[in-house]
Amino acid sequence: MKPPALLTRLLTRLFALLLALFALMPAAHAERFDYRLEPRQIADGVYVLVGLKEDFSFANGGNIVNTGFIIGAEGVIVIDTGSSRRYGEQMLAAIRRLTELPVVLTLNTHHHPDHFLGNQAFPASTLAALPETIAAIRSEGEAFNANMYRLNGDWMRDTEVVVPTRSLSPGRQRIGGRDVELLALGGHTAADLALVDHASGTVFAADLIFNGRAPTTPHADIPRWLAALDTLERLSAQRWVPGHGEVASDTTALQETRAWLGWLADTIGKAAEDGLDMSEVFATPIPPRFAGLALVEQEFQRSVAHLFPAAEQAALARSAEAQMQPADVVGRSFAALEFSAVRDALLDAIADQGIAAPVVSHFAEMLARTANDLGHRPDLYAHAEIFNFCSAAIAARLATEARAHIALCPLSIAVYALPEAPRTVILAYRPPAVDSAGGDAAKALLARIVARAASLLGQP
Amino acid sequence: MRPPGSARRLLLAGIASLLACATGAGAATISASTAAPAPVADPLADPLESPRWGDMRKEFFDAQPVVFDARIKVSGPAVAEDPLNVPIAVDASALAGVEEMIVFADFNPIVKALRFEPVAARASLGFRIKLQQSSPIRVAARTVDGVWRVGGAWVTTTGGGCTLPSLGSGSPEWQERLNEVNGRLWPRIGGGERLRMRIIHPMDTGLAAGIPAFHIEDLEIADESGRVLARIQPLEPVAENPSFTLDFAEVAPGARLHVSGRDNNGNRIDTWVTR
Repeated sequence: MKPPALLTRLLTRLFALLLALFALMPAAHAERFDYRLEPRQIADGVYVLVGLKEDFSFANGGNIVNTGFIIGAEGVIVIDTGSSRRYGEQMLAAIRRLTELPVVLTLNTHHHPDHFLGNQAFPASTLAALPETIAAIRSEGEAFNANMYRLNGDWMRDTEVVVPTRSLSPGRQRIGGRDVELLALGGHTAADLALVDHASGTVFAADLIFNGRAPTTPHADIPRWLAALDTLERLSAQRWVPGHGEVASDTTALQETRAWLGWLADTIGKAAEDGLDMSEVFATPIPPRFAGLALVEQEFQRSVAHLFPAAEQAALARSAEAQMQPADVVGRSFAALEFSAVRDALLDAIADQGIAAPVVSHFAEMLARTANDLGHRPDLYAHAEIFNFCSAAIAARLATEARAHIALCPLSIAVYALPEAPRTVILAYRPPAVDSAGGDAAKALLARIVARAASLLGQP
Repeated sequence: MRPPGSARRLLLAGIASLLACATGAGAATISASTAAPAPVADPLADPLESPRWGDMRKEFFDAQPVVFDARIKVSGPAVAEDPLNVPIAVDASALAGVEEMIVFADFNPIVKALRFEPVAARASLGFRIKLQQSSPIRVAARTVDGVWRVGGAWVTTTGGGCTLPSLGSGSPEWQERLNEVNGRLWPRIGGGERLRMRIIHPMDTGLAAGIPAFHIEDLEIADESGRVLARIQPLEPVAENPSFTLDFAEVAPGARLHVSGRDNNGNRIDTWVTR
């Protein structure tokens, strides 16, 4: 039966009104706390649940993260479990709509709360992560969970931290009948696990890649993160699944993440070196090329809070260290070179003087060993060795001058690089403190060796 | 089947969440707008509308003249990412003849954060504080006429900044490096120079169980001849390993500045910062 025209119009209006009302109530479905997870198939057996490019809120319940799963011939691999118990349960239900196969491995790619708080829904024996991730979930998980209740409200109900028990090692293996490779990387956090599915050429890059959203940095080590991106870029892949944002079919998102991190580190480092106060760094304008990143302003503010204190400390300490430089040390620094290249050039330069091979003290390794007992930082140097050597001719001259000159032998040259600039390698030595022909010959020899090393390195 | 009344509950839930969102948005707006408070008709009405202002006034100013003044700026993040390290910059340099500045946070368990005598420095200071809960951060500047002029801004935080033990109190490092100063001077565009320094100190508030208050209480910056250029008296709420930014309109004679002071246990601070 055809309804009267007036009634149809009224109903249409009422319907439109209702629609408008619902549009105004982003959390209306919060009553049922339904994340509306819809697995999207991106390759044969490979599924992704793409989250919103937002921050945590009462409206999204923490559904701001990408999770995924791979259905193999014998079982299912789950990659991250989402932000809450409800998310985990709804994710498992979504998997169950597609397959009856058992979940054989449930990964937490890193210890951020949106990646592991759904663990309760999955079989405890399948929960697995890198060892550093397990340790970090154990130590920081409860605080994260409490904060997530504050940010997401009742979506979090009954969510508890479940620490994975299986510790993963990297490598290529068959899991659930699927040929996958686990990569133990880091930089976004202390440990970031990436997974490569070889059959489909899919890389689950976790939060090492953000797509169209500014990366988060509360536990970031940017040089390490950039190195991890280099590793990911070398993989031959068909598609990259970022931790946040759309699935990418090329390396555009990876480049975008790299560009942002590079700019961020440079900007914060330069601000510290220029003597800016942290409050002033917040006001840095963000280049227009990053305008398309969601949450770019907020994440920049947060990143300044995370990264500036260390940069500031380095800038202030550099000045203090410069003032402490001993006056009688001769140094020569080589830019943009590997430590090993400079070390080898020094060895060759010493050999070229017709001197017996030096005795090497492994200074950096010694300091790394003693760090715990002596309470200093373990990475004072990225690399540091001291070469001790003696020239028979010079030893003879010095001893002939005065037998007490034995204390001036052997001669030594240190070669080192600092962790904040591992590709700036420094040669340094202390000329013998004696005013005599033998002393002058020793000084000339040391200078000759360093000059020879420089010329071997193409930086005369 | 949906039980009767559930549709109504759904609507109420929707409204409640709308209200929750609106409240959140409102708080953000307050933080943003108070960065530069508009001139108010009643100079004694708190532009930050804090219920604690009456107490603050009694505690810090008592019978002394006090007015709100929009020329005094407090800048900090609208939302503090790290409640143990909330960066704050205060600036009363728009006023002439500032003799003394105090910084306090209405809702911190220890309200007063520091006192600053600019002497020869610009009446501005950058530092970081611990914040226990969202609070107005205020600076009051006393000018030669004896009037206190007050500016401020709200900072929102998840909290916990004051009752957590310092990281330093759990590490052996600070005992060896206590009161070590890393300082550096920068020429300022337009003349003068900037001093930035960081001092190794746990700055324990005394509010974490079993850890007594332990903080730097006096800092003095002087030129090579001993002439005092500025004084800072930090209190418990100043962040661990405090860092300070001071600007000087003129470059003091000599090649270096002297930073000296002590903490409340009598440990001395004594360093030269060389240009």
